[in-house]
Amino acid sequence: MATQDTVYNTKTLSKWFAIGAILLLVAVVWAVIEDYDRPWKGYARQAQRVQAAKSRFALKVQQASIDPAQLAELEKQLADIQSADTKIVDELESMIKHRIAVYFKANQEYQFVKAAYDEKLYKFEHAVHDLKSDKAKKLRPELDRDVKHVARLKLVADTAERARDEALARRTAYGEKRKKVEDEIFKLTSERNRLLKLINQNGDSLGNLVRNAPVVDFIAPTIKINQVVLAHLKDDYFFNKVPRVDRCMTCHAMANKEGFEDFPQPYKTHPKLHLMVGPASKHPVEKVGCTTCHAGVPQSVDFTLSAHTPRDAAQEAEWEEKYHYHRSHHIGTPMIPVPLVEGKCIQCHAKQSELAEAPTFNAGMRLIERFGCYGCHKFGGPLEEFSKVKKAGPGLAHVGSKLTEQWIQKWLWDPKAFRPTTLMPSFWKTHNNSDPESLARAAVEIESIAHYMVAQSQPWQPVKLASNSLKGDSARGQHLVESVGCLGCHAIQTKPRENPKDPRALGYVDPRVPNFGPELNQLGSKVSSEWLVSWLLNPQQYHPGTSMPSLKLSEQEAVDIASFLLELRNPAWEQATLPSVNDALRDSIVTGYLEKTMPPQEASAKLASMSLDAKKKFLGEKFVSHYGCYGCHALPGWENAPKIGAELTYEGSKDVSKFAFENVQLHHKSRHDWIFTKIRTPRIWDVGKKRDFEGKTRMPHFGFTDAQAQAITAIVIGHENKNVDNEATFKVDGRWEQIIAGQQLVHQKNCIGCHALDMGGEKKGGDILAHYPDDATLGPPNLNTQGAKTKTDWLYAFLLNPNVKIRPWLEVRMPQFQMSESTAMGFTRYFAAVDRAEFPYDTQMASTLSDSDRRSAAAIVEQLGCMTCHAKAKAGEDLSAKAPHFENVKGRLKPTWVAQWLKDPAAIMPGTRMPTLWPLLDDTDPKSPRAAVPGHFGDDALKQIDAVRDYLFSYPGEAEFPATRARPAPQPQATTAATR
Amino acid sequence: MQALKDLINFLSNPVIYFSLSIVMWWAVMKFHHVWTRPKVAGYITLVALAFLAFAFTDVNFYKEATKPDNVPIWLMTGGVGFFMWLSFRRGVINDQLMAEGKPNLEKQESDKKVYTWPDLVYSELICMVLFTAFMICWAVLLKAPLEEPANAGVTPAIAKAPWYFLGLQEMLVYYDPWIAGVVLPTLILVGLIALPYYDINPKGNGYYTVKERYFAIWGFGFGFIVLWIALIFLGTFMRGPGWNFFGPFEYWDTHKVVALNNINLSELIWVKLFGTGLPTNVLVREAFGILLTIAYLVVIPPILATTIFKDLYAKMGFTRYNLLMFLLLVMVSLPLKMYLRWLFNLKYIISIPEYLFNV
Repeated sequence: MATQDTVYNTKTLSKWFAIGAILLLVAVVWAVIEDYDRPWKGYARQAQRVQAAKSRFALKVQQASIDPAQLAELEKQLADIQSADTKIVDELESMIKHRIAVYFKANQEYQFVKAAYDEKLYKFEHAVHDLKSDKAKKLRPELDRDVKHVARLKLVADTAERARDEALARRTAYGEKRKKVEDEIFKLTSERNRLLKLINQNGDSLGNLVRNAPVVDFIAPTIKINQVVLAHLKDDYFFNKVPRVDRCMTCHAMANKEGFEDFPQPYKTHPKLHLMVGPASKHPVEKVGCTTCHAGVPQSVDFTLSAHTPRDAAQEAEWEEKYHYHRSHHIGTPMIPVPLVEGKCIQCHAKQSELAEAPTFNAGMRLIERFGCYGCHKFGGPLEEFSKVKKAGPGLAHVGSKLTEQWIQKWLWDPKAFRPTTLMPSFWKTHNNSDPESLARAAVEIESIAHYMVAQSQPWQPVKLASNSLKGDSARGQHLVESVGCLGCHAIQTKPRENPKDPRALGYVDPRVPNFGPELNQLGSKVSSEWLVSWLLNPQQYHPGTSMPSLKLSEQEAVDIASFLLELRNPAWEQATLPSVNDALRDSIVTGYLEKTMPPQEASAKLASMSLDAKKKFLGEKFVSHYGCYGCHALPGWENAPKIGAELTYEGSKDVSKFAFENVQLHHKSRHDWIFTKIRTPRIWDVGKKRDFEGKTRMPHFGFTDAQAQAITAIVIGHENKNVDNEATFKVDGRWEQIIAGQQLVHQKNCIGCHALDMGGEKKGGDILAHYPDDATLGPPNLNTQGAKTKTDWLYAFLLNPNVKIRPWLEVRMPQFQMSESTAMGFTRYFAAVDRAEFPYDTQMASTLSDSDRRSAAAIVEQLGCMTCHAKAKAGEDLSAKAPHFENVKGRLKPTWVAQWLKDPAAIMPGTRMPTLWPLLDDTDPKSPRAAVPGHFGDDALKQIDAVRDYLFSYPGEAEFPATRARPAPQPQATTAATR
Repeated sequence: MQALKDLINFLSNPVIYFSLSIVMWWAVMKFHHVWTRPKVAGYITLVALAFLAFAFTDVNFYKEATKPDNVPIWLMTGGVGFFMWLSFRRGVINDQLMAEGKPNLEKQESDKKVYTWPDLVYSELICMVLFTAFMICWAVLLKAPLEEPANAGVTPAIAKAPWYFLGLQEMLVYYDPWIAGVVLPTLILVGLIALPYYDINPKGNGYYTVKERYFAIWGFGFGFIVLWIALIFLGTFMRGPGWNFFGPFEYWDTHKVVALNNINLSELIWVKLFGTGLPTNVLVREAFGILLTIAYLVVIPPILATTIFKDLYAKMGFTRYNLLMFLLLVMVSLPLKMYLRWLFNLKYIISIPEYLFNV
């Protein structure tokens, strides 16, 4: 060992060993640090520091609020009690100790003796059983003696127990006094102590450092993964469904805590905490988690690997710099960008098309409903229901009686050239057919389609007018258009669509959602007067499936309106010319189609035998089938034709690799980017590709804005494979079923175009009210509390036939929708469900008044001067100051609602001119008494209200009132945004 | 720059790459005196590293080369190269020494006594410590990728075998899975196991030599370096989505379309040459292929025994010789079939899909 003829020099070896050992130590320490210092711990620690800081601040505030004098007083009291009690308490304690010992000893003795007795008893009984009589005889007396002994000992033990319990009770009673003071102190200092505890818990102390140290942090760490296990949401790993585990709150620790709204991510409170994630919300994070709505990789606590998705390129650049972020290409369900998140509501709210506080969702649904995407694409859910009821475009059954072939051709070339805000998309002159060859072909296609439309148009006669010599006054017509209610669905250039800055203020106009009906600024270049007058008088006579109702116009009014609207023209359109069609090209296209089903010789023979008209009709039919016109337009004979677009029911789950990005250079290839681009520019995928006519994209160009495309993308993304168990989805019980059905009807008929109403969770609507900025009551009434207000049968009959004018001052008219009975029933059910009113039978009844009460009630009515407004209008009287007259009360209104109305009209109908006749004496206290009309019913305002209500329900007529007492005309009540 | 890259992409395609590697192996064996010289080997290494440095500037190359999965392949390349040089170098030195009549290196070393401690165990300990430190650093720097749970509806872009089987996966391009995946690996194993029984060359026991075991080294090296290692390298870096070929500087396009117009021998002869349809009887249809295969395996060994391998046959005897020939012929059939595919688009020599038997 000591000799020096080793191969290697020991010193060198030792040097290398030392180096290696140091390297190994460094490597191990590095590995441990890498393993333990994870990024999420940094965030969790920081979150705790933020919370500690906030608690410290709150503590300062809290401590300031504790009155030190009060606290000192209480503590002195406690000390006094404690010192006075010391001697007594000590005595009590020693007595208790002694008695416990006595009891223990007595009880044990009793137990032991009893056990011995039981044993002896067994022996005795066994001896008897075995017929060993002498043994039994010997044992018998012993047993008798032992029984007595046991009983005596039991008595002793019981006595000792009672003594012990009595002593304990005395101690408890004695402590009550002290406990009361302690409770007072606790109440005073509990918040402070709680905050102190929080601060200590979350702070950076040595204890916490140890708890979170490597290796020992399995015991009780303060920095830990914060996860929510979602039993209802399972990941399908094939042959095994595993509940999801959301770990987002490890870093986003304050998402469900109030008070962190102004902090940067990830320490920020979730927006709309009352609705989402908050403990008192409908979607508490313990039940719903995070990935139900946001997707992403739930189990990951790494920023990049959990597949955060930036909302735009700017944010992505920021993340790349700050967090070395890069998009994961392998993850099938990356997080949905925040602007699109509302689409995920569909997972649980699959049957609804209207959700409270989900503006993007609602806008997306409205856009799909307006533009009629469901006409070509199958969606599933409420959109499928909608597709069965409504087609997005006008019916073409009689189009030949409305439009000329030339007009249709110009329209097909470029609809927006005629009407810039049209819903009709462009099929030609788009990304994939603007080259000269395609344009030549387009001329053939458009000519044949227009010809086919006119050829298949069925005969139609306009509505027969009583008088043939009516002359239209366009000034009157303009006034009618602006006042009778057209503006609820249409815009004209003198009354464009208003966009109030605060959409929750007067009216509700989401700038993303177009008007329900087309703009009326070019009708003079489109239709004839005869057609327009007939249409205005009875739209359903031209097209039974139309959404346009009748405004109950007289023939003169219709003629006036027609003369005004036909003055609005589009001169550039009228002067535009159509390109000519190449006959040879037309023939070659016809031949191409014929050769698909017959050999070339037959095809050319058939071609030769076809007239020009026949060729155009032949091609027209082919192109209608190709472009799917029947998806938006009712076309006779094409009712059962299949939808030409791809099914979108599960588009949100479609694998990204199955989307064809072709030559389009998107910044990042994701599902939502593809869908967004498709919606914005559907045919851009064909650019640079060799495609023949059949292979080209058929989806037309709608010209959506970015905001519109984003809203629709959100809805499409939300259509996924169903991940959520049925138990966790939104329960559509009886009430909600009716509300959902009613919401659908509201959107089918566009009630919110005119009326503000409670959509069953959110109040919205009244687009037309933007045109009545100064006084909303001049517009269509607010349908707040409609279900609680009107009797079921009255409302049903009114909807079917609105022939009674309740509000005399209104110029705007309730249209005659000619709705079916089931629709009217659906609306009635809806209003009742929203207000949780009884349906269908009302059990509320007004009482019959005694004679004296009746007289008092009548006196009150006279004193209050109700008849100033509520009397029936006489001929020639100015209607603007009149109110609904009392004859309608009995058959129309519900008694409970009337009482509510009398108490506080402004709360029910903001802006109403009905004054508050029994105001609260103290505005701030809703339970305070009300001012009463003196001299009746013991000045009890509530009794007066009930009496007046009962009186109105038995209203005898105006003869009872000889003269009305003069009373100044009531002023309109102020409307605030908060009351809507 | 781009032209150079395009040239390298072109030169890396399987035909040229494989042909070049056979030529390289022949050159390695033929000129082993030259390239084992430290200076020459040093220059070769330098050139290779310079080329690598140049290659790393390319985005596509960088992306594939720095994948944590592919880093061990670089280690393999370096390791195989180094140890091949080392063994050949010692062989050259030993050949030189033995030509001069001196004892070879191993003999010189074995005459010395070596202490267990420190020479054996201490140095092993140091190696262990350094190696552990290296492995820990590697594990921390190149983390194992963890993707999301597998989706049975989505197959990832390219499903590659473990790196040590990439040579076999390459064979799947040219051979039926039964042959390339079962028969050939079995024969490799059987051949290796049986090696002591037909390797009758007593030379080279316990010392490196090249001259004395030229044939054995040639054969084994062809099988290992060319058919195994070189194809692993090809399979790692130049086979991309769809098992399409991608040059080292080419972008891995998952939608690349390459026409594969391959034809069976039976189709080639009956349809293309004779102009008739394929015979219905399977044996008649595949007669040419069957005869060819039998002839290849049965006719060639006797011919060689009477010509090139005359003394080898004499030395080994009938059984050993035929066993060796069988294994050699099967090994050579691999590049043979590869060239038949590349030159004549030949798919199967024998094609009997009815019985799932294709050669």
